[in-house]
Amino acid sequence: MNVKELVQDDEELYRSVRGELKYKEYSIQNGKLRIESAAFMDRYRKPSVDRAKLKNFEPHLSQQSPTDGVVSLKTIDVRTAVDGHAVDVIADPTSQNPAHAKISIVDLELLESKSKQKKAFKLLRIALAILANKNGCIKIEPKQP
Amino acid sequence: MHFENVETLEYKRNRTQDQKLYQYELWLEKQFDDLAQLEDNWDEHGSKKPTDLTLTHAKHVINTLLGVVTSAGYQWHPPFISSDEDGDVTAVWYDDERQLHFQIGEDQVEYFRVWGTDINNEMEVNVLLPNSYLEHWKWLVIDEC
Repeated sequence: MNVKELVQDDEELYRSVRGELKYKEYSIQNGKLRIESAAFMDRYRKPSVDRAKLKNFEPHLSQQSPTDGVVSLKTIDVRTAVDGHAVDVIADPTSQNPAHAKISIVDLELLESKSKQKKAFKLLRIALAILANKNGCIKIEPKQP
Repeated sequence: MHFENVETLEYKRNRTQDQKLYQYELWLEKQFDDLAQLEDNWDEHGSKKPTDLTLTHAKHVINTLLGVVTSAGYQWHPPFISSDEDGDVTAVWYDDERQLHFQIGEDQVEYFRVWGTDINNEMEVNVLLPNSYLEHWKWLVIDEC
């Protein structure tokens, strides 16, 4: 069964952040860890997240490797990041990962040029990184292997 | 009691600045050497590698900003440098809640000013004009001089 249940506004989401510094998904500046917008790059411009409640609120279950970090986002914060372009969190369960969901700009394809699509997605990535850097959102710090 | 004369102090100050600049230049070379080593799909998400032209352009843009900023008496902060899905180079400067992003392609630069997560009301995007470098830096650091 692959029913796409609606992701509720109050749901917590996990996103893994790769530990290897070469991916530039985080930086350490003046001793402080910062999640960078590259942590939300995705070739289809729909970054993957896990629904925390379907991971039993255990962020380590969202790690792709033991050195990965995990950040937490609130669905409502993601959905309200963009006023003009609707951003949604859409359940996308797979057989390997029933918690899988995607963050998507709903009308991205309606933007007439690739350049505008790219710009809109970059703004979304920046917003997501700001949300991920808020207090308490870094559940597991990424580590260089 | 020993007093150093003004010329000695000025010499020491300039020498320290020169050393800092030299360290920064080495660091910047390393950043661009690393970017030049990237291959297509370097992030395993399908991202393109930056072209030689993009890298040359990006280095020129960043060094131009450095020249403008230091000539005007402002303190320089090294950027966080990375590459995106399309092989553009991104340089980001942070100052408290403000972020200044330069997205640099082969023949165009766009700036992103960011001061919150609301994409419509707390972010600004436009083409970077050659005579606007200092204006952007002033916006980033506000009154620091």
